[in-house]
Amino acid sequence: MTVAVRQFENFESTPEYAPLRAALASNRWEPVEAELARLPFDHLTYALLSLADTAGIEGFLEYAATTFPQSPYARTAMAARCITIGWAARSDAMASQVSQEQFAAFAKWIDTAEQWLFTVCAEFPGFAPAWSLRVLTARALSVGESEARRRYRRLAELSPSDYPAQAQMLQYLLPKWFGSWDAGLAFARDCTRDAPAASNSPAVLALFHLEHWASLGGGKPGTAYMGAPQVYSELQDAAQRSVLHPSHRLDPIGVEARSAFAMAFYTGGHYADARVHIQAIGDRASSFPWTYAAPTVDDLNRIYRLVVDGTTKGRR
Amino acid sequence: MSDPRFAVGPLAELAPIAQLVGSTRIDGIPTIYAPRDGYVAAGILFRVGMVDEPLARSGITHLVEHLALFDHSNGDVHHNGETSDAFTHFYVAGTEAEVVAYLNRVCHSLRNLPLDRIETEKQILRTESSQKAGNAARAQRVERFGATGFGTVGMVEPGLDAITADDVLEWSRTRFTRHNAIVWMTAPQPLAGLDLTLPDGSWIPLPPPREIIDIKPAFFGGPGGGVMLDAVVPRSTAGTVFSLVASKALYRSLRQQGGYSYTATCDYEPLDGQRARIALYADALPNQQAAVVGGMIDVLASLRAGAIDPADLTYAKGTFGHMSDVPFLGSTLLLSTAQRLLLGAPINHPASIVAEAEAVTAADIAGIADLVWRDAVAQIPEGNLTWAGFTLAPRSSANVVTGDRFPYIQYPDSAVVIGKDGVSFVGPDNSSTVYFADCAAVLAAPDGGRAYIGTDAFRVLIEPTLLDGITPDILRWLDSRVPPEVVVPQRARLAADIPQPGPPVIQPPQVRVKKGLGAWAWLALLPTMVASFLLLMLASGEMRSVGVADASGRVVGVPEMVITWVVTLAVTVFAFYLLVGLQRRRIWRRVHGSA
Repeated sequence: MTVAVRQFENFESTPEYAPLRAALASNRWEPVEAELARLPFDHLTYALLSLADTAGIEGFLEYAATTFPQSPYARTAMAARCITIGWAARSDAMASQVSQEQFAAFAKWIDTAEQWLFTVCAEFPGFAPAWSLRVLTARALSVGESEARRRYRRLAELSPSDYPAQAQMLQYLLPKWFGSWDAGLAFARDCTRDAPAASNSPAVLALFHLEHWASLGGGKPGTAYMGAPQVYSELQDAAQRSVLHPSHRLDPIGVEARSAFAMAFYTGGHYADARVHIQAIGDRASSFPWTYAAPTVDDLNRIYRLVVDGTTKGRR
Repeated sequence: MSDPRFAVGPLAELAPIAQLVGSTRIDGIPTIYAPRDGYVAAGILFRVGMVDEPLARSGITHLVEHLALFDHSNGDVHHNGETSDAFTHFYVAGTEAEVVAYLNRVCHSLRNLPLDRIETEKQILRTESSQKAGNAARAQRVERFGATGFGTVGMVEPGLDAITADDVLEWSRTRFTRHNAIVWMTAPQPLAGLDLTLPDGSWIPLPPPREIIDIKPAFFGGPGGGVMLDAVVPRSTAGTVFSLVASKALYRSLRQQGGYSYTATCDYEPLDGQRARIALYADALPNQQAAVVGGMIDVLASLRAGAIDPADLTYAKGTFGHMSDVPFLGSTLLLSTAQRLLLGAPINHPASIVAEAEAVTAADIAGIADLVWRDAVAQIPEGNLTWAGFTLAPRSSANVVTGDRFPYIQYPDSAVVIGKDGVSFVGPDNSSTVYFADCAAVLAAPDGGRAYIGTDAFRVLIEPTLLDGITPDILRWLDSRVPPEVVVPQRARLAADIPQPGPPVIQPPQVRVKKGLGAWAWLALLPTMVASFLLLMLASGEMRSVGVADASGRVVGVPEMVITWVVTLAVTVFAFYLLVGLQRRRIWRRVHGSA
């Protein structure tokens, strides 16, 4: 029985965010903050970044950020939106494909975001989501590795095994940004090793291997890499400690962690392992990292049919 | 002398500490004293320092100090001389007789400087200056203050070579006078037997700091090894408390928690009677530099946000408690009192300073942090600080003079421009200008090489050997544009040290590299369209024009033409869609491999 995904998870579609959406519909910040304040730090960061994809939300967030200076929430939300706008201006392309104008717009938005963030960090040094977003901006600002690690360290002291921050730190440590495969792998393994049972953190290891797969251009070399026994067993171990743990929860980050493992096993040709995760998350799927392999939902459903039903029918 | 400080009788300014510090005049020099046990310490402090020196004679104060101490080098008595920004200080510790002998000798030397020693002492000074203040501290001064005033100390005494015996005499006659000095001594009564005769002169107030950066907070790239951030703020007890609190916060964050730095500290130093310089500094290993930059900015930002550890504030205030609670309190105040007198700064009783410190609140500290932030100039070893709202300090002069252009033989896209008001260097990426009116020094080599240094520390080098068309006439004209006192004649260079141009470096023409295949895809659309149009035409068996004219000459539409065009368009779109589909399929296959 094929699972059909209708859309990649976004702020509007995520069921857990229904109360947050309702609060936003009131056009008042206080109820929004009340909803955000219920979330643990990692989920708060994830929700803010999800919310930040909402086109036009910056008007409301700027109002909130300036009206509630005594609160770190609105300013951090505003910073997240600035980052998203900046990144959209830059595009996801490799640096060599990004124009001067795009870079200038990107830099301007990221600088604006950073100024919101470091002010929040100065006033509320214990507010982890601002540090988490500064791990993200570390990469965008091209700060040195020691500074990126300092930010991550500050975050980790407040919110250990914080998947959104770890996923960002991993990006920094990859060769396509400012690191190396060795640094990325060491970090991903640390995240896995230090994670408590049922944590989403070990999915960072899946992300690492998927990045390696993508760098090989997928295809046969990619499948060979992902399917190699040591990578496969490492991924199985990581999945066991994480999403396959009986007390793992299928919340928005859980969906992304499941998606990462599903994709990692799919790209390695281990369909049976992939199927477990696809069936567990049902019709939910996160666009990251799936869009590396499946730019559209149609593409994803084709992969699902292949993995779940073993059929290749359908277009392409 | 109309200045009340030099009237006969006790110094009026000392009223707040009259119970602690006595005052009198010795040979017309205001003298302050207070008892202490053990050896006698004493000094004579002059209100002249590097700040006062013209760049083209920089080092002259230090030279006078060395000449005055020349014959003091033997003996066991602990004594020394020190030239700083604003003061020259001769001091000693020993028995009464030793102290008297030292002070008398210093004044005697100042009256009779051993001018024959000038060249030898210059050599010693060159050695000493090469070991002085680190590069970072110097660069910091020049960045904020330029090449004059408080920036002079950063310039490595370029004027030393030019100093003549007449310059030395003139400098000592006008600066080392009894009206520009204070004597202090740790003694219950003024010491007997002193002969401190010095020439008459006048008190020379410290020139106010002149800064060259318009937009702050600012940053610039330093030599590495550390991060420095300084600011000029009003002189205040709260400023001192701030520096102690900031030191604690920096140490905790950068050393204890982060392990990024060994030294992490904040200093407070008075600049003049009204202003002080607050400087945050932390050293860094090469692979930790970025973290030290970020960590320091975060510490300052958190102090500014009012996140002040109450224990740090208590500790900082506590250090003031000891200040007024020491035996022989008066003797501890002598040097700072002498400095304040020479700066024209008010004198306060230590108890009132302790009370001021006690009253400092976290909000005051945050207020100082805000002042520091707004006036900050940060020297960072890597990266930038635009993310913190800092602006890059100018790396180019604001203007370029207009005039003849003399290109570099080897680098034709760089040139020196000589105009009626100044000279400019114009390169592909930066430029610098020195106006003759703002020229702090011209280092002039006998071979014609000139280095123009502006008061803002921008430089323009004119090496006739490297430039196309600089003739002796032009050099003579250039030399006539600046007053002789800014010229620093340099010793003759060895032939091997005079730069020579290599063969011209011709920049290859820039090849525009087209990125991606987007344009090709669109270009391919056109032939596809033409081809399908022609095919359709052939199929319909006739070639015709786009329309026919009716009797009145108007072009009337031909229905077949419209149909032909519509079909052409449809075929083209379909072909393009197919092509794109094929491409997607190809990518899919590549990415998913066997899948």
